[in-house]
Amino acid sequence: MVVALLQIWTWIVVAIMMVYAFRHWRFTWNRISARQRPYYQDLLDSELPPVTIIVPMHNEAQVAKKLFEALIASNYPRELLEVIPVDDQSGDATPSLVYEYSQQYSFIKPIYNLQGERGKANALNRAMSLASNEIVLVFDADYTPGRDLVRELAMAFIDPEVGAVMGRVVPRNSAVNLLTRLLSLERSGGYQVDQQARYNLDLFPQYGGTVGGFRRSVVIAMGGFNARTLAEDTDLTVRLFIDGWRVLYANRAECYEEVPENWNARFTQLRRWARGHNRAFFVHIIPLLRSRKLSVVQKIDGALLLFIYTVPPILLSGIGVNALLFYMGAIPVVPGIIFAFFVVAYNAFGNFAPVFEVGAAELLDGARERLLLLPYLFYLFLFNSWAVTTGAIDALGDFIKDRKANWDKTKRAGAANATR
Amino acid sequence: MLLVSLVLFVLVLTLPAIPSIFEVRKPKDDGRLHITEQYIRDPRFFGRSFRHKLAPFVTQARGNSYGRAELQMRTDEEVRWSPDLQIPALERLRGIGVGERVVVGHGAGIRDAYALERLDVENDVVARTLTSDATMHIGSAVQILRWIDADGDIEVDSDSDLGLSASGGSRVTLGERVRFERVWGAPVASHTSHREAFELGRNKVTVVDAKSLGDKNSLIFYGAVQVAAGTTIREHLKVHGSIAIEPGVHIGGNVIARGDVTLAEDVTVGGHIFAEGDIRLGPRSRVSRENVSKTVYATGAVLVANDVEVFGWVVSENGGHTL
Repeated sequence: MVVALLQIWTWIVVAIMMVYAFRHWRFTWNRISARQRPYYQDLLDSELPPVTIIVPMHNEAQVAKKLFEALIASNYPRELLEVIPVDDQSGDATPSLVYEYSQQYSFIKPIYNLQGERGKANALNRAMSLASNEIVLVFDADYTPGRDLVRELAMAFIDPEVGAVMGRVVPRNSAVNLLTRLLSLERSGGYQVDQQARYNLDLFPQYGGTVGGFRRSVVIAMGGFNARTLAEDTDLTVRLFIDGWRVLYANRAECYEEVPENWNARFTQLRRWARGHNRAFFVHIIPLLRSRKLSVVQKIDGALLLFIYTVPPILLSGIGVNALLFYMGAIPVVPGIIFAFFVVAYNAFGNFAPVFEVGAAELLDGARERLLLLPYLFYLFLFNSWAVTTGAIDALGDFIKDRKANWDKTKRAGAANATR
Repeated sequence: MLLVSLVLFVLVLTLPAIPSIFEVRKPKDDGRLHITEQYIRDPRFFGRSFRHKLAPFVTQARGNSYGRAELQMRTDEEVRWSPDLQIPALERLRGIGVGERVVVGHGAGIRDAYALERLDVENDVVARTLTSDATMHIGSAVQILRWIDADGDIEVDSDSDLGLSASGGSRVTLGERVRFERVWGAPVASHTSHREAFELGRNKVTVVDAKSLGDKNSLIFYGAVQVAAGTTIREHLKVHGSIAIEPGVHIGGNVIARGDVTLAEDVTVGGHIFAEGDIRLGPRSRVSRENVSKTVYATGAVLVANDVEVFGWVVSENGGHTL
């Protein structure tokens, strides 16, 4: 009986991996060979909409100056721009830096959260309640938007169906060490191929919480950002789709960010993402599948997106069960079939983008020798799987106990101010 | 046996990573992906940049009867000044010709011509770039290899090819069968003999008319849509399919289609037209209005009938032309 159950579980795990393998093969094939869906960045408009930019900040003194300078240098008409930095109980020089800029530039209108609840969702809700404009863009403090980026993102909202837009994130500090180089590869796969293919196929491009924006009235009508989640971006994406809105992906609206430079910071970040994302899965999977405003294919892609941070613990359990069955002499299938299936399943290894997807993305980005690093993604995958598994367990606990998760911010390395 | 298995297992895991060790230890390709952070979309970028590079030479040469210099452009280029620069018919000219007034004779082949006042290009000329600080007239069957830019009006006669980009500070008038990729003007206008409206198919379409519109300002549809003659849509129309718009329709906002957009005659659109297929602008159709710039963008081709006006930018990724 136990052996039979373990054998069934093995088959379920292999089936899940094959579904993801197929999904990512589809995306990669689409990105490489199909016609790419254009975004609206080539449209010029002398009647640009007024835009509010929210910058949630907690201990960002090391990096925020460069963001403010970038926003000041933006070519978006100053009279149409409002920047709301939200200082979220920083313990460093962030409040004084924000104050200094607000004194010099009247379009910078800071909010200081001295004692209320902390966290990005709360910061966004506070800023939204004070924002003057319908179009709201969000940048984390370690991002440096290019001069035309605000316009490129704002153009998404000429489309009456668009609830949110997401630009492409590019690591600034990719050269620092092996981890940053691998994260840079992972980011390429996730944006250049995965997000663009989902946009091409009219599926489920994801609003990523920064280098993106949304319609303020729509988010407020949906009750604002959910302060109980650590993945307010995934939460918003799914709620928008369920409600019939669309998220656009703007591959050429690129912005530098800082990726974690040490493994502990990366582990914490991934664990937080997994915790928030899995909570979104528990909360939204049924409404998503029941939504009348989505096609069957969109529902499937949305469900697979929500499920993605649940896959690593399942896979790890599958590997463990397989090893157990092997030593029990109870591997359930003939070697040829299991080998074929595992070759397919192996292709799905990769938490955000499998190896072949990253390879395709790097080729599109003009990479050369860095392609040699692709085998290392397998080790990153093992590391990610462990971090995501801990986050998934946290999320399960949160859901069962109806517990609120605390925001555990990723520690900045301060590369935004460095010259590399 | 177990030990051998374990060693082999570890070896199989590490084997693919061995070639990468060199790239990890001595990185050759570890730079961050380049983003052009200073880039700003400007339809007149080529002309502005060209003028900027030539400005020191022009300041020095202006007022003289002749001038010559070597300029560092992408490669070294010879620049020549003459107040009334006349490039003879059938002449082959290298370098950049600059003058107060410039005339490029019939059949000439030149690289770059820059007029501080009027620029006239006769028929059958081949040119790399043309720039004018005033007006520009381009004759028939002229082939532009890169771009043209004028501060004033541009008039283009039939069968010319405007290259990658044509931009004017005011009216840009295109004659019959003029090919283009990107045209910027206030407005971009057509003056051709094609006065018939485009055919609008009627198969399996959702018909939108004043009755079906109700109180809605913006409309979103799946599948092909036909907007009935005389309908007014106050704001935007988005269709996951193709759109056919009958005569006399007014749309106050943007028209966005996952397929083609076809305008019959006398259609006005206040906002952008964006199509993932082709766009056909029927006779006397208007996009945007004076002093406001919008864009007509097609991933496919843009076809322009007679007496069309677009205030702003016309972008045709697959090449467009007047009829």
